[in-house]
Amino acid sequence: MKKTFLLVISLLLILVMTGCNKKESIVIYSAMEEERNQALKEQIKEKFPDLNIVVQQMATGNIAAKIENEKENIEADIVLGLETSHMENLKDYFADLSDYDTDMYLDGMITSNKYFLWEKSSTNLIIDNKYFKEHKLDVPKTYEDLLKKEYKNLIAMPDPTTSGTGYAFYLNVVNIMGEKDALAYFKKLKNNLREFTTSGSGPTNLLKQGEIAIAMGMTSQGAKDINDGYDFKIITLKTGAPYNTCSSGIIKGKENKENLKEVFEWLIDEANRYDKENFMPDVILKDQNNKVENFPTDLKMADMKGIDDNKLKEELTEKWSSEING
Amino acid sequence: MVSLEVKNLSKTYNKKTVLNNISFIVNDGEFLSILGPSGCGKTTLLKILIGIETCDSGKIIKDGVEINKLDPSKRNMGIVFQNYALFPNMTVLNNVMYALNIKLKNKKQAKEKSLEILKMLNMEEHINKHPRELSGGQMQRVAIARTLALNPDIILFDEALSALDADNKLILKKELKEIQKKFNTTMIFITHDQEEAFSLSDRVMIMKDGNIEQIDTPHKIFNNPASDYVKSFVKDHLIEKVRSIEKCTGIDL
Amino acid sequence: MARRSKLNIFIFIFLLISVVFPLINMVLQIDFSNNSFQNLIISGAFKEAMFNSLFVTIIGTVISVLLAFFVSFTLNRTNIKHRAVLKLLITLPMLIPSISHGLGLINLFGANGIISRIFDFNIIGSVGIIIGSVIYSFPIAFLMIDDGYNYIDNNLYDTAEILGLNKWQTFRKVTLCYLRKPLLSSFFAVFTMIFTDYGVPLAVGGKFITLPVLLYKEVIGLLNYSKGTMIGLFLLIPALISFLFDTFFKDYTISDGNSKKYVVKANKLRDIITNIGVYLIIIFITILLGSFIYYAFVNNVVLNNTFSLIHFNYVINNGIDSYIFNSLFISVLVAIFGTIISYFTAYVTARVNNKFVKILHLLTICTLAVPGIVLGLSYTISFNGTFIYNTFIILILVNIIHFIATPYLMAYNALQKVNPNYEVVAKTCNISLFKIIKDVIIPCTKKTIREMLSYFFVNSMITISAVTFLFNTRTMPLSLLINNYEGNMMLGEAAIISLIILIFNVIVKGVIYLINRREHRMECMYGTN
Repeated sequence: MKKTFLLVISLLLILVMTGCNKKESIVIYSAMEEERNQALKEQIKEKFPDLNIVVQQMATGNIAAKIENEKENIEADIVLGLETSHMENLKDYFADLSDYDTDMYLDGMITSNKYFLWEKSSTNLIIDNKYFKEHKLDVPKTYEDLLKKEYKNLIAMPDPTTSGTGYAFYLNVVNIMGEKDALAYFKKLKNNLREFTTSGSGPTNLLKQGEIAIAMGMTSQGAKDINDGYDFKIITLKTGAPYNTCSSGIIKGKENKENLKEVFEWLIDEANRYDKENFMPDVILKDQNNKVENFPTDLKMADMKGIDDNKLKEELTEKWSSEING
Repeated sequence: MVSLEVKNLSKTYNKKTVLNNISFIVNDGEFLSILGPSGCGKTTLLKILIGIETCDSGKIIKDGVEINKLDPSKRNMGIVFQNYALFPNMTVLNNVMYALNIKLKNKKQAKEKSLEILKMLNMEEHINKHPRELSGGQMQRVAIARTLALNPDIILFDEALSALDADNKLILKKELKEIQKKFNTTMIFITHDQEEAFSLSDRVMIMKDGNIEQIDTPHKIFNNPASDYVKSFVKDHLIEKVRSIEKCTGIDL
Repeated sequence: MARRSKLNIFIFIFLLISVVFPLINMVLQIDFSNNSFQNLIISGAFKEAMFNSLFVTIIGTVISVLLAFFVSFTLNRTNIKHRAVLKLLITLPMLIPSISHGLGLINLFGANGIISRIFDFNIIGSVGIIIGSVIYSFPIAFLMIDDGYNYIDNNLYDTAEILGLNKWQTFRKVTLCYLRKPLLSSFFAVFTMIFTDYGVPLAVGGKFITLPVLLYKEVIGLLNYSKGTMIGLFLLIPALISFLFDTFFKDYTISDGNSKKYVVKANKLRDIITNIGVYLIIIFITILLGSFIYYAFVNNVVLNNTFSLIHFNYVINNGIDSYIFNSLFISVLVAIFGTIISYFTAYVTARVNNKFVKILHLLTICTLAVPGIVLGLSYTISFNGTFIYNTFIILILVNIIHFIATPYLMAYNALQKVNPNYEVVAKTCNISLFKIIKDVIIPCTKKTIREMLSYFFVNSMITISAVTFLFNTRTMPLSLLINNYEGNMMLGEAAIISLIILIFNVIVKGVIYLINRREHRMECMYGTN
């Protein structure tokens, strides 16, 4: 009996120790897609070869939940690309960034001293061109068009309650039609579409698998897919392209960590620029030089009034949750 | 010399009186059967005697010492079950040796004694077999051997022969009597089977609804049943059966 | 007695801390003001989800248990060959995360699926959920029923024959009698499993929303713990019913494991029908898994159908070794400690019968109905800031609690059938309780113990729900990588990870199979009476 007891104790000790192994490292929680994170990791290796920087990908909702839960105990030091409405809601847990230089941004992009804009992601319809040609379908031009019978089960939209991309569409329709009519519209749309996906990249994923023909998704992803060889087309509705924003910040209490200031400065400057020019061409920086082919220039932006209003978001998503339930 | 004395034992379960102030004596080296239908309280009595159940009131006195509060392991009583309760993962020899080894703390001695007892019960050919390879009768012998190995003063049998077929029952009954004579162990035999009780016992205790109807030798019960209920145990053909058993086994009942 | 009550108390305290405390904490999240509970119940969304959940769960459970019974009957009562191999194949679906099943189903039966294209239909929606749910749940029901066959007293078949009972009567009076408890236990276990799973509905449900998916969206999307927990309360109902049933349904069958082996009688027709049935099921499972191996080694499913190691290389170059270590470390410790805890808890509840142990039984079974994600969240809320947080300990603990119910029930069923007189023998012979457990009771149930170990290990390897909030960069297991890759449409990489998990699980199950086979051979060598 004694032997087993000792064994158990030593195991427990190992467990505790392994978990608490504190190599001095900087942890970044990133809500970006894997490909963008991968590029970021490679740049970090080049720029900071001696530092131990960990980039952990996590869905936007997960990051927000973790911050709300763990508060300052969270292991993350920097949060990258979290939906701005979440950032605004959780800003008390973020450090003050007044000392950082924000010259590289276009005017009006910085709206808070607790977080900086990371991306403005426009959304559009991305259609399977091959499928449309084969089935001789008309290209949808308005939200109402999406209710047509010929598109039944061929459409997917991200769920506004879990995805910022989805919320962008939702808010836009609310701004166009008014809340009551918007909800009625989406009830009808629910009958016509295949599903509301949990993640923002869900619809474009389904499109790539050939499961649907119309994805309501991120313009940048559509462009990337076209560049990868898929026969897709980006369609902007008459009412313009809805958009959502994501931001980055430093968790309160971590701002004085060794090397952190240097890393964050680099992130919002060089890394930011690289990411925007190569993956997310919606313009937020001065002299942004977009390298993504097939990304539509001069996009007409839709009416996104209230996109950063977290209270409004809570109300609208609550209504969605009760009445639409995608 | 008195081996076991039960005084004014009572037990109630869920408002039902299972044992109603019963008293009796078991003599040293005696074979006593406790006979009665299910629900008469005999199983409860067994549990109380062996120590896995407590009584509400009364005393159990063994060799002059009150053992009510004594741990089962200290009462020096053994028990043999209807379903044998042999350890299926051990050989016959190890089944018998197991408890003995713990008691003696000497493997060699334990082995020797176990072999000796198994030989006495005609099981030496089977010592390396596992219980699943044995017949019912063989398993019961091993169960008895396991108990005997620990030299108990009293062995309790809980419907121990009920699971056996007629032939095996007969053989084992004969062996039980032989063991009793050889070891001079007191045996208390719980059963609902009249034949078993009357053919094996020095005395029989008939129970009904928590009460002792009569406790006496089989012959006396035949000739002087204490109540109508006891009378029902005494039937003409039973006497004949007892006589035929006497003939087959050569035991004088 | 002292030893046993110490054990009782220890288990009780453990369950209090690891099950009751976090759950109560979660319930305290509910905002009872503003009629929020009433609003939830009357909302269209909730009613729809509730109806949907009941619909797919009832149908899925019936199909699942029937399938499981059919397969275990075939494996135990017909002359089918290569039983152990078939058993391994039948349980393959249990060895990969549910999200992988979702991928496989979409690949075969989605709108653009390989098989759908031929037959012009797709299973997105309720049909997909039912199929997916049956695939991952029926192997578990199968294991429970199959385990029940181990403890049937086969001598009774001879008795039945002597008494002149025909096959159907024998089946009813002997087999069903012993299997009644495992059958019904598995019915409730499967029901609860399907009712509370979000993985399959998320992948193939389309707009057919079920309660767990609704909860997932409330918690992940809206961070609405209050609403999420309220929905979670409904998900606890099956467990309560399960418990009530278990309490009132007594099992009177006891065996001492000494009964002889069952001899299968010859019956060609029966064999042909049942064997074909089982092989069809296995073929289906194989195609499903195969479609997903296809994803792993094909460059791009839509654009470029050539063989490629591109996904494999990507995975290898991204720190796969530490993820593998994490998963293995967690799963092994979960298996060891989980088995010990559930076995001893089952010992206490199966061999004693009083009000206190009924509470232990309820607590343990309750865990089956707590969706992994709710459990994980309750742990995040309750243990935030404690020393176990952000370590492997909390991951191990949450996995043990998440999966404890099934192994516990396996042990419970097995221990109830072990001869109750061993303890009496021990008491009268002055053998300590732990010694008799170690020397007799554990060896009697070692087959069940092996199944428990492998159940804990395998499920720890594949789980994504409970751990999703509790991991950090140092402790992240393999399974969560799949979520990352799938969300990014890196299906090839997700498939590779699924394969790695599958391989480890197959190894563990294979080892147990070999041990069982060796044991079986040794028993046969001695022959029967």
